[in-house]
Amino acid sequence: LRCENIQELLIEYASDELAPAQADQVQEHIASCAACRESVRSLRAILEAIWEAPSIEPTHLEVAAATASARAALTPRVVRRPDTAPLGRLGDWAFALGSVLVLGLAVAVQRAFSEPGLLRAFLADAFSQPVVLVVCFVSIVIVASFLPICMARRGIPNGNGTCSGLQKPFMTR
Amino acid sequence: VERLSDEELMAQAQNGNVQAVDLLVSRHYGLVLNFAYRMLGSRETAADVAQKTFTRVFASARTFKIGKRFKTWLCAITANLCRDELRAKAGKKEASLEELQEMAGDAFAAAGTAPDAADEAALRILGEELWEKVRALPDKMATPLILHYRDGLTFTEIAEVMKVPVGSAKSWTFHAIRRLRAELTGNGLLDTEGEVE
Repeated sequence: LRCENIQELLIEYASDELAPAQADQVQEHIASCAACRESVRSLRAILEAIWEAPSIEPTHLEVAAATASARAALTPRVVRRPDTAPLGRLGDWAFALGSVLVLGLAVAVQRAFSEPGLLRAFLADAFSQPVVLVVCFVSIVIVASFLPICMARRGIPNGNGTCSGLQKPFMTR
Repeated sequence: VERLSDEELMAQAQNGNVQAVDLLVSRHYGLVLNFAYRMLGSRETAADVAQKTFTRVFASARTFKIGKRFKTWLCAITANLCRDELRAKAGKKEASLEELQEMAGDAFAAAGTAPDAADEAALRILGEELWEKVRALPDKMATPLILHYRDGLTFTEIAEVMKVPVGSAKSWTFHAIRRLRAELTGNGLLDTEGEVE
């Protein structure tokens, strides 16, 4: 072994990380090389200062604070709730149909109020044709019934800051 | 639950198990605190960084890939936060060499002539100066040095933490040791025989 080739080996030798065969070779070299022997001594002094520096002990308060922060920050993986909505996709179609009907009704009412005389004619028509009333009533019932279901299925925030469509994390405690 | 590995606990934490979170924090808080302390030199700042580390770990729990080592992931996050902290306080004045030498002189004077007390004081001063020098090293040298010689991580693990080849992690560590030796020898804290004065 030559001095210039074993500088890294000297560090590993000083920290006792060399395989026995290599350690023997370095041992043999430093026995006859004063410079490398001194090098190993100074490296050992530094490594011992690193190893022997006392560790700091965490306090209960620090661990408790870190635990509380960690718990608060935990964002589990979210899993979509299995499709448990009553009527399944039918609810979506009913919601869409109801929405169209209600929108049509809203336009009709707006026009009736914007043109004097039309309102009376409109109401008279509505009362004379019960089917119109039935359609309006059914539309409102459909929308009112399926709105929450559709919101839940689509994961729309429900106003409590949570998302009703997402499954709560499985608590394995 | 106590018998589960870190990675198994992390998988449970990903599903919202807070008991797994508690256990991971209590297992590794000491490691994170001490690593941050060695990098930053202030217990108070180290405790802040440790708390931020665990907050970040569990805030991004869902990004943890199963099959990865939790400890290296944790160390990587700690190292990043320490680097941010060091950058933030980069403008602050560090203890000058003169101040350190004065501290050393005071300690030797206080130790009197008793050889044991003098050795102890010398070791303490070497330790103090050493850690100042470690903290003055570039991050890429200080991080593997502390992780390897203080926290017992292998160079393979350190390479994973630092996202560099194993050879680079090892080479920076050895550079760090050589630079420390040169600087401490220059300050007279290591005599020519390599022993503590």
